Amino acid sequence: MYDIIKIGIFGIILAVLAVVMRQIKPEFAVLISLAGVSIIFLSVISSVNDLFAGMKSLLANYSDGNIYVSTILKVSGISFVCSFAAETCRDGGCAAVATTVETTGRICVVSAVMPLALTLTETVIEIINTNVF
Amino acid sequence: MDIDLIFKIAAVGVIVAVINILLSKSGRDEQALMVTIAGLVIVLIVVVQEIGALMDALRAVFGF
Repeated sequence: MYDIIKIGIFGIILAVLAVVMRQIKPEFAVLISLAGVSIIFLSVISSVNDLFAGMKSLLANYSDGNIYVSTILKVSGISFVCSFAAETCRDGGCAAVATTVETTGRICVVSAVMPLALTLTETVIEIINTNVF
Repeated sequence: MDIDLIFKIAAVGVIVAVINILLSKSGRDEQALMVTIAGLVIVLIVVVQEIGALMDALRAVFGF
């Protein structure tokens, strides 16, 4: 992950170009930032993949550890996509669309986490029923 | 990292803006609009391919 200097300079160039384009043709500024985001993320996604593989192997010894890791990954992916899409919409001036995308993302996160919450609740009820009296 | 794509998009934007100004100064406003829309569509096709690659990578990594 020593590409961070490259990515930082890339981001600065991107921001300057987007500001210049906003003066000339505002619709191209949004496209420049979209393309820049996807280029930056595609360049680091291979190391993210290695990271998650390490996390999965760390928790593979515990029972159901893989389900928890995959839920965490799903939620972080959903939140990344949502924030990226919402901020792009907000850059383009569509605040209502951005808010809708964010709300939909929250719904998606809750529905992805719901099985785990149900499991937790069942475990808690089981413990209470067996141990209290 | 593919910084050429960013400069290509910026170059298309500048060229479209120059052609737009030239055409609208010579009184051909509807052609200027056509040039703007064509440039936008060209850049949008490139960017949509890039976003598609990003979404495929995200789907592979995060396991949607």
